[in-house]
Parts: sequence; C-alpha cells; structure tokens
Amino acid sequence: MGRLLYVWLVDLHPYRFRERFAEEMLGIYDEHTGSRRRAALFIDVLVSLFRQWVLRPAYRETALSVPLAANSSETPLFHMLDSSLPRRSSLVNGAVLSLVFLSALTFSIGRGGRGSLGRAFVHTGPAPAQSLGANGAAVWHGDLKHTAEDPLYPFANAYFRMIRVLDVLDADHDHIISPWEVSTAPAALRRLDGSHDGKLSPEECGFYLGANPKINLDPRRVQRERLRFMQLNPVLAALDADHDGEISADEIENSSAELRMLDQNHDASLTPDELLPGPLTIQRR
Amino acid sequence: MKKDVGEFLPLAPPTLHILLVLAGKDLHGYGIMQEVARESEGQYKLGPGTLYDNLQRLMDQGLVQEVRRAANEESRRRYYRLNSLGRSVLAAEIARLEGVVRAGRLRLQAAKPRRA
Repeated sequence: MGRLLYVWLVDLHPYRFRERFAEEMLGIYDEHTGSRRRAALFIDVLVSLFRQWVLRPAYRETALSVPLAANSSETPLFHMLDSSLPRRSSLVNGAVLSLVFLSALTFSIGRGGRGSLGRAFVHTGPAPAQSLGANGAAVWHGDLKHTAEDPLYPFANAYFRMIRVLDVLDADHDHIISPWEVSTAPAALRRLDGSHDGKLSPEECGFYLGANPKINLDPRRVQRERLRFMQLNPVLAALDADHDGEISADEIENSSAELRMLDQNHDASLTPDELLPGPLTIQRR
Repeated sequence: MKKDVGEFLPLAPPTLHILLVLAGKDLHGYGIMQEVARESEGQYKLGPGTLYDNLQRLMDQGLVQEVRRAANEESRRRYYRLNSLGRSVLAAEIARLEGVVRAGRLRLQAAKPRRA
C-alpha cells in the first residue's frame, strides 16, 4: 500500500523528471526499511513534487518536440508531439465539447425530454411502479418497486411501520407483499408472538394506546378500541377470520390463504392500495 | 565556449555535498545519499527528491555526467561522475570556503577580549 502510494506520487512528477529518475527513486524506497525512514521519504517526495511543478518551469515542457532524422539532409524532418501533458488545444477542445453537450442536455431536459436526446435521458411514459387499469384506476405490479413519487408512498411508509404485522410480512420493505412473502406469512407472524402463547394479541400486531400511568382508561373502552383496531385495518381483519380480536394459532397457520383473499387485482402481490384502510386510499380509487 | 566557474558560486549545501562525494568516485543515487550522510556524520541527509533535482540541474549545467556501468551490474542503478568542469567548480568553491574560514578566524581572533 505504502509503495503504491509512493509510486503514484513519483508518477505525478513532470515527464522529464520521472522518466529519468523514477526507477531510481523507487529503488531507494525499496532500500529503506522502517516507518520513520519511509515517512521521511514521503515528505521528501511531496516537497519534490512542489519543487518540480512550481519552481522548475524550465524542466516541464522540454520533451514536447523531439526532432527525428535531423542529421540527414535528404530525409524529411519529423517532430514527435508526444508529451506527458495534454496539449492546450486539446484541453480547449474538450472544454468546448463538454460545454456544448451539457447545454444540449439541459435544453432537452428543460423541454420535457422531447426529441431523441431527451428520450435517452428522460423517461416521459407512465410511472414504472404502476399503470392504468381498465377503469382508469392505478394498478400495482408486484414485480415493480413502490417509489417515493407515488402519492400513497408517505402513507404506506408510516402505515407499514405502525402495523407490525405488515412490517414483518414485508421482508424486503418495499411496501409490497410479494407472492413469496405471502407464502412465508405464517413463519413471519410467529416472530411477533412475544408472549409465546401461540397467538397474536392486538398489542403484538401494533395496537398502542400510550404509556401514561396517570391516565386510567376504562377497560371496556380499551377492549372496544382493541377490537376496532383489528377490524379497521384490512390485513388484520383478514387474518382475524373469526373476528374475536386476536389472531389465533390456526389463523396464523392459515394466514397465506387469508392474505391471498386481499388480492383484488389477482396479480399475486399485495400492494398499498389493497392493504391501506379505505380513507387513505380514497384519492387513488 | 568555456564556462566561467565563478557563475556557479556559491554552491548550495546539497550541491556542495554531492560534488564532494562524487569527487572521490563514481556513485549511484543511493550511494551518494549514503556517502553524504557518512561524511557529514549523519548531520546532513539528502532525500531522493532533493538529490535527483540537484543531479538533474548539475547534468544540465555540465558539471556531472551519467556513466554506463558493466552489463553485470544492477541495471536499475545509474552512476554519476564528476567531470572536469564540475571538478573546477568544486575546487573554486573550496577555495572560496577557505577564504571564508580564514577571514572568519582572523575576525574571531581580533575580537577576543583582552585580559585585564
């Protein structure tokens, strides 16, 4: 690593200097052992870089033009234009071409990507994660990612984190329950069973009323809210087949089949518009 | 056209040390570094960047030249030799330094405080 860095620093010297001395400098580096001596070599090569580029301008461009066959009067005189530095004309050409290209690209994007150049860089078709169904409503494709551009994304993002069942079902966190995630639902749901009683309570599914000990809630009201929580959220309502407010061991075992019943467009995946409660998806429908 | 040795004087410390060690024998770069450190008893150490910058200038000025070694010697190393102009410049610098030393001694003796 240290040697590579030293080689790189030596290579940064002007062409004439490194052509003449680079090999010997590397030889000296190889002769030196010990971190202190090598550190001194690095300081030396850095000082040398500064010296050669800043204080020795006369040595920088002397190898630009080397005449060949100059001794023969009958042979035409050739000049080599080989140099370690690009010619100024090349640099100017490159700068102008870059400017023209960037201007054309900016102009094309500003026009909304019309034209062949714009189409190469700007996608103007329908959003990749959705297309229009027969009734004009957005239809989700299970093999595409749910993107931040979609208006449902902020709701879906918060909702998937709030409903713990969805959080564990959506293993890859793309807000789409894929066919594989549907088929592995029983195993995923069992991970939520913190009390190890074989079933999932509303709290284990994500129900939370707060933890303020000063507030004494009516137990009957709490139970009512727990039931409402399990009924209002489509995925929980589907999993709690007997609507007793808990997802039993049998319901966990049968969860894949229950989840498939939520697949309204029969694309085998469950997308946010099939999972979020009605009020959240009303703008989509 | 013969160059005036006076235009090279005074020599910078690294140049003086390089010419001094090359006055004894032909040396490669690493050899010059080691010899300079040895002759100055470790007080003056040349780095490769400083060494080759000076060698480049000395070769351009015609004070030092690169010499080819026998084929069986390590090919990566190049040897450097002090040529006649370099030797003249070194001799002139040593004469100048002798004058400096002589003048310095005289001044110091003259400035000695007299005993009461």
